[in-house]
This record gives sequence, structure tokens and C-alpha cells, in this order.
Amino acid sequence: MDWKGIAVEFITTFNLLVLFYFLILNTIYLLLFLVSLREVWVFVRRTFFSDYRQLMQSELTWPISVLVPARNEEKTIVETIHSLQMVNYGEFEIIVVNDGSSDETLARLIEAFELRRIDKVYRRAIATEKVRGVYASLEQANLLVVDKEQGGKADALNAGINVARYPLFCSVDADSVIEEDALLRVVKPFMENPRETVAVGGIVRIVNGCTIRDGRVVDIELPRRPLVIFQVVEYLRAFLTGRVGWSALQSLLIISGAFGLYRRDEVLAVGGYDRDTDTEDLELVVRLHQHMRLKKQPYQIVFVPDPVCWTEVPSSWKVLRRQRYRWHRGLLQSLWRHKRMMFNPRYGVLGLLAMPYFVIFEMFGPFIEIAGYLAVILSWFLGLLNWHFFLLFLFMAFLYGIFLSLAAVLLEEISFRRYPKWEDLMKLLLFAVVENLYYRQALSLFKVKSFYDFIRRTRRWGEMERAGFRKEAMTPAAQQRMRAAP
Amino acid sequence: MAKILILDDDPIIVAFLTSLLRDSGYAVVAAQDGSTGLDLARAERPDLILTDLVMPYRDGYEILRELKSDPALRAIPVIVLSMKEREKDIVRGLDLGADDYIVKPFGAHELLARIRRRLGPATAAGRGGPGAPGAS
Amino acid sequence: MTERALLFAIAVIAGVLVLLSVVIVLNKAIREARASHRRRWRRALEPGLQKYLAAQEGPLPEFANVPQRGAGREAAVDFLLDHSEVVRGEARDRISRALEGLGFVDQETARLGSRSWWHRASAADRLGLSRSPRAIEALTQHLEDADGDVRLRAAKALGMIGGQAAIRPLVAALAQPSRWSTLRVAEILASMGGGVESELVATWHTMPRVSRLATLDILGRLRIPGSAAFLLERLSDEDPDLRARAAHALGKLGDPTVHRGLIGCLRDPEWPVRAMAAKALGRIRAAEGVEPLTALLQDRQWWARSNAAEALRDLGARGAAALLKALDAPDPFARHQAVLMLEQSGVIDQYAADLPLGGAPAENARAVLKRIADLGQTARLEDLARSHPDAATRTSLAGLLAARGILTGPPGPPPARA
Repeated sequence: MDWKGIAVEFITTFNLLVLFYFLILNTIYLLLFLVSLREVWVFVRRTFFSDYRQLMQSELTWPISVLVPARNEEKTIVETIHSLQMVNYGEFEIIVVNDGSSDETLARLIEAFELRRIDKVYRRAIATEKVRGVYASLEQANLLVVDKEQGGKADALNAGINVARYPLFCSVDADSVIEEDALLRVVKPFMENPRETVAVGGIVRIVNGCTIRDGRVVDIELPRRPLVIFQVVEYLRAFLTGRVGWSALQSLLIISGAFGLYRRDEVLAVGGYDRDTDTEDLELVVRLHQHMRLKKQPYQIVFVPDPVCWTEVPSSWKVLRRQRYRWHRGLLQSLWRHKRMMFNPRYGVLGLLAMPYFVIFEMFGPFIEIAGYLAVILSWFLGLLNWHFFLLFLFMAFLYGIFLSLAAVLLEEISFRRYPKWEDLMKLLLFAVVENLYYRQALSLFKVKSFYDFIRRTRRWGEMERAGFRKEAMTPAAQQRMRAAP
Repeated sequence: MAKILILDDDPIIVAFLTSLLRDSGYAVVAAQDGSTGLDLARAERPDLILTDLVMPYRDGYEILRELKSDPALRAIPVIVLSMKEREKDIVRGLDLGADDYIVKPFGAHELLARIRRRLGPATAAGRGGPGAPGAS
Repeated sequence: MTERALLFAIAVIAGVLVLLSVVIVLNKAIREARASHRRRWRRALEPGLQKYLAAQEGPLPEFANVPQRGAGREAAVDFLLDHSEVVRGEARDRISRALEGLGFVDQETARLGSRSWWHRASAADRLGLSRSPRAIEALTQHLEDADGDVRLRAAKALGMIGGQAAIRPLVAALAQPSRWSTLRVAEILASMGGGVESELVATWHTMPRVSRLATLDILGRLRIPGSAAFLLERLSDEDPDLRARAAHALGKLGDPTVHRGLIGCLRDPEWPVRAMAAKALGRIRAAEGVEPLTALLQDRQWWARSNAAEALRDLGARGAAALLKALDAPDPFARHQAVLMLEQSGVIDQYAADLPLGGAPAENARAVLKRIADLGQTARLEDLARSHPDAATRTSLAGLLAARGILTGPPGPPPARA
């Protein structure tokens, strides 16, 4: 048997497969980008005329319940609530859910807002861990604090949903900064299309490097650390090109970790958030899609390409790794749980396009990618590598990706222009290029490891618990920034 | 020459008011946020303060409270100039100690007339601290 | 594939990449250059323009030398538009006249005829800022523009220019395909005050449903006392949503004489009407409503019951008496809501304070508090037992709770204000 011949055959074929994979993947990105380009362009022009300021004080916009799940947030919770209270919106209530904090979170809230326990009457529509008490303020009718036994973020959100009294609710992380007009921007799709809109998500921006005062982002700058700048570029690509594109195709799967606005009745109909998953918002959105499709009613889950929320991202590889493990694990959990939707025409574009996409390119993709790199290196050692192939590979794997990253930066430049400084633009361009050279590959490695863990069903609940809901710990510098007093 | 302190985060308003008031013969100092504004008030001891309500760092309501609880600054007349036009906002401002409340958009000549009422015409008012003659 | 073709392809792609980067950079550079040019012009013209605004008479050319075209004219126009939102009265009229003199109004009116929706909308927007009555006619035509954003912008512009001539087309424009758009027009009308109410009432009969809903909301916002009669009539409209909105608007109006009509609505077959009527009765503080509201505490629908309870809370002593009676209602929800309302209005605290007084008041208080403890809603009582400033009260309450098996231990979280 000609083993060497077979081996060579195999490697060559595999290399071709990898090439093919990159070609298709990047072309999908390209198509999504083109769709997004049009959406964002139209969106920016249209919202130019939206006059949010005029509607700020309107009493006629739909009322919203803002849920803030919190665990061990004593240092920042009062500030977060203060800044939420300053949001410009007609009628809304803030419900803080204290998920069994072991620190002084509840005490700080009671003191700062003069809360007292009330005998609130409400229907426990979703089962949660025991609620120890509901607190309200005498002065402000729109602040409630639910004190309950620990149950995790999803459980806390469910408790909040139970107590909420308005038809819409949104979930805000305790460490996120919400823009003043955020509620107005995300409620717009609901008001334009009240019967069909079920959920709306907004863009999450990276707050590392920006200055926050009194709960408002006052100075926007690119962060210093390269790792964080990579994430800026990645988020631009993922949000501006990916999610906008999927949203336009009615297949938006990920609303976002930090901000999304939902219809309370539909969320109750699917049973609220799921406690057994790492990414409860993704899981909820998939279930909403499924539910609405089964109901056979026209509906929409949209993504508003409008920056509404700022959040801290990991600034060290270690923390980033943990975060990505968790995200990927959550994705795999949801894909597995809803495997029935795959290729199922009953679920429309979502089942026929989006889910297969996620399985092939998000789930298996990283393997193919990493294996591809290894195969190329192996080929070189074996002397199998030829010129043409190598160049083609370079192009597919890197240049195409660089093109897309640059395109995302361009999209940002012509639309939102959140980074006005020249040096920031130059940095973004540079990092858009470099991002494709080792950052993305590292992320793929994380996904591979996460998949491996998922198969072996090892879970790291313990780590999540210690860090509270801010699952990736804030750096001391960031904490200081958030506490910066005038 | 009477001195007026302007507190507003909108640069257009600050520029316009500065020009308007200077041309009418008043001296003008300005700040674009609450903290700087309070510092300026203490340092410059203006004869009148024109303030907006919605400002970064510390809002106008807080400024009012601070001004009216500080014995050194209490007597300086404060005119609120704000876009908030709901009755409850106006009541709140007046209850906190504002001497007058003008809603934006405002009439330039109306504003000047109200300032004249408190300070007297620009050229006649003496430079003085709180309790200067001309305040009603 | 030949080597050359491949290399050529790669070179092309790399070229595209470089081109893309150059485009990004150039785009930004051009934008900034233009902005900087305009800023220079503005700095030069600004002193003269400021003086023009503050002056009482004299046309613009007497104060500033604005060129006929180019960046200078743009800068002057920008200045005037910026200030049109800041001032009103004489200064604003001068802005309109200056803009007319610069040919701005004619230019933008022409742009209203553009093929691109963006240009039409932008032109409408700027005409609104100019506040020039010359633009009213053209803007009115575009209230029926094919594009939704242009229609809204035209409406907004008319609202800003104001005056009777603008109100009529705006009221007609309430009939928008999307709720968001109707809301926008409603906001504009609500801020115009004046003749809006009469126009709304006059055209009611020809309005489609969506406009009627918005009309009722606007009337509630305008709070013109004379609208009470019109709104009372609407309480007997066939459409339940309209009845509900009318009730809501009456509540916002605050006219206490309308209670009879609202009380009638408490028996409406549709629950939104009942709920809104209850809310309105609470708002106008009509004592006559106490009895019918008490009956509503047993309503099947949550909102109606909840609003009735809140209304009773706001109806002073008679409302409190009704809530106390409701502690014995057959319906558990009514009982629970009653306790919550008594808590919120401070009645429970009052009774707690009566306990150490002795005699009839203390007996009465004790009975009431026992009843509440029986219902199981003891959060407030527990707090008071722990933190009331008067020791005798604390003891009494603790005893009362202990008799029901509820122990109040040492103080928990920092005490709330007693």
C-alpha cells in the first residue's frame, strides 16, 4: 500500500476543503455585510429625523419595566440606579432584583432610596426561588426592589418579570451604562409595529477607555490595551455587519448580553428565562422565535443598529477566555436543545439558514479552521506546499477577513462615528488588519476547547457564582472609573 | 458694572447670552457644568445668576439648593432658564428658591427686562456683593 | 490557474483593501476640512450676527456682510437656524426675516420638490426651523407626501411655524399609518395650545378611528376646561377604546363636576373603560365615587380592581373607611389590595400610633390591626414593631404579631423611616 501516497491525497484534499470553508464563510460575511450596509445607511438617515428629544417627555409612549438583576453589587448599585432614573422616558419603573447577595447590596439600596417593605400583591407567573420581600420607596413610585434567595441571573430576571406591571420589559446589567435615549430608541420598533414586534435589541458599545461621570459616558476614546481594541473591531463587525444582517433576514438570534426590550406577555408564554443555560438571553430569543413560528403569526424580532448601551469587556486574556467559553457553551446548549428547528421549513429562514449557519460555521467551523492551519504547516514540513495554494490560502484565510474588518470600520465611520479622533481611526484601521492575524485564531481555539468541554459536560458553575453576575471581574481601574465623582 | 454668571451646557446659549448681556453693559462669566459653576459663583460673587436645569455633573436643582443654603451666596438672585416647561418643574424650581423661571425658548428682550428689574439698568448698578442696592 | 493570474487576483484584492482604507481616510479628511472652513467663516460672522439678533431693528446686511453663496452663507444660515430654537418673540422674527432675505426660504421650498426623500425631509425640517410663514403652503402639500418621514417632518415644521393656518392640516395629518407617527403629530399638536382644541372638536365627526384616539389623548394633555362637556359625551361612544380614553382624559382634566358620567362608566361592560374611569375618579378626588369604587374592588379584571383601590386610597377619610370595610370582602384580592392601599396612605401607621392611647381608639386600632395580621400581610406591621420610635407601640405591635405566631426578632436591615 502506498501509505505516503494516500497521506498526500488526504492532506491535499483536506487543504482544499479548508480553502472551500474559508471561501464560503467569508462570502457569507460579505453578503451579511452588504445587507447591513444598506440597513445601517437607511437607518442612520431615517433616525436623523426622529427627534428623540421631543418625545423624551411624552406621556404617550408605551411604559416599560426596567429589570436590574444584581448580586453582590454593593459598590456600584446605587450609582447604577441613579443613572437609570435619569433616563429620558415618559413612564417606566425600575425593578432591582437582589439575588441573595452576601454583601450589603440591599442595605445600600434601602438607605439610599429610603425604601420600606410593602405587601405587594402580584401573580407568581413563573416559579422562582423564594422572594423574601418587596421594597418600595415612599417618594418615588417607580422604584421597586425584590429581595430573594439566590437563584442565578435567569431566576432573578424571572422574579422581576413576575413583579413588573408594564407590557414591556428590558433587562439591564448592573454594570452597564445606558444612554439617555436608549429606551426611546428601542421602543420605536414596538410603536411602529405594535402587533408584530416581540423583542428588540440594541448595539452594545465597549466602555473601556471611555470616561463615565454620573452614569453618563462623557468622553469616548479607544481603549489602550490591544486586546480591548481587538474586541472593539470584533464588536463592530459582529454588530454592525452580523446582527443587523441577520435581523434583516428575520433570523436574529442574539439580542445581546446587556440590553434587550421584550414583550412581557410573550415571554411569559414561553415560560420566562431558562435557568439551565449559560446564555439565558440567547436561549430566550430562540424560544421566542420557535413559539412565534409555531403560532404562525407574523412577528418580528429586530435589532436596532443604534448604540444604546455601554458595557465593560474583559481586558485580560484569562477573563476573555472564560467569557468566550461561556458564550460558546451557551450557544451549543441552545443549538442542541432546539435541534428540531434545524432544516425545518416550519421555522422559515431561521431554521433553514441561520441555524445551519451556526452549526456549520460557529460550531464546527473553529475545528476546520484550526485543523486547516495545522494542515498547512504540516504540508510545508512535508514539502507538499505549493506556491499557488499557499497564496490562495493566505488570501482566503486572511485577506478576505481583513477586507471585512476594514469594511466594518468604514461602516462605523459613515454612520455613527463614535470615535472622532484621527488617531483612533488609524488605530482601528491597523487593528482591523491585525485582528485577523492572531486574535481571531485565538478565539477559534477557545471555541474548540469549549466544544470539547461541552461534549464532556463539565460545567463551571462555581466560577460564575463567585464573580456575581458580572461574570468577568471588573478591573480595579474600571471600578474606579465607574465610581469617579465630579 | 454688574456681573452676571451664566450656567448652561449648551455653548450656543452661552455665546448668545454672553453677547447679549455684554452689549447691554453687564460683565459676564460663564460655566458649562454645575461644579465649575458653583466654584465660579464663590470666586466671582456675581450679582445675578442665570442657570439652566439640565447639566452634566450636577444639575440645576442641586445648584439651587447649594446656592440657597450657603449664607455667602444666598442673597444672589437666581433666574432659572430651562426647557422644562411642565408646571411641576416650574413649581419645583421656584420652591427650591429660584427668584424667577423663564422657559426656553425665551424672548431676549423679556429676559433683559427681567434682569433689569432685579439689577437695575446696567450702567447704574454698583458692583457689590449680596445685598447690593437695585435688587428688589 | 496560472501563477500570473493568481498573483494578479491577489494583487487586485490587496489593491481593493488599500483603496478601502484610503476611502475611509479621505472621507474623514474631507468632512473635517469642510467643517473647519465653515467654522472659520462662522467665527468671522458671529459678532455681527449676534448684534443683529439682539437689535430691535435694521436688516441683516447692516450688521454683517454675508456672501451670496458658498461656505460663508452656509455658516450664517447655520447660525440663524441654531438660534431659532433658542429664542422666541422679536429675536425669532428677525431670524425668519434674515433667512427670507438670504433666499433661504425660497431655496428650501424648491428643495421640497426634490426626487430624493432625504432632501425633501431635510428641506421640511429646515423650513420649520426658519419659522417663516411663507413656507406654510408648500409644507401643507407635503403632509400627503409619499414618504412617511417627509410627512412627519412637514407636520413638525407646520407645528413650529404655528398659527391657525397650520393647525387644520396637522389635525388632518393625525391619520397616520403607524402609531409612532400619529404620536409624533399628536405631540406637535399638544404643544401648540390655542386653537387646537376647537379644530379637533369641529372635525371629530370626519375623523378615522386612529385620529379620534389621538384627539382624546391630546385633549387630556391640553387641559382646557371647556373640553369637559365634549369628553363627557364621548363616554357613551360605541367604541370601548374611545370610551376608555375619554375617561382617562377627563381624569387629567381634573374637573370635579364630571363625576356623574365617570361613575356611570364604572358599570361599563368593557374592563378598560371601568379601569380608566376608576383612575379618573381618583384623580378628580370625587367623594361621590367612594361607594361605586368599593363595589369595583370585586371586579373580575385586575386593572379595574387595582385602579379602584388606588382611587380609594386617594379619596381621603371616606376612601380609607371604604378600604377598611374591604378588609372583610369575600374576594381575597380585594382584601389584599385594601391592605396595600391602607399602608401606602399611612392609615396603618396612624392606627399603630393609636395603640398606646387606651380607650376606644386603642380598641378600634387593635381590632383593625388584628384583622390585617390575620390576612397575613404583615410586612409593615413587622417593620413598625421593630422600629417605631415609641416603645409602648412597639411592644403592643410585637404582642399582637406574636399572638399570631409571628415573631419579630432583633432589627434586620437598617430601619425605614417610621
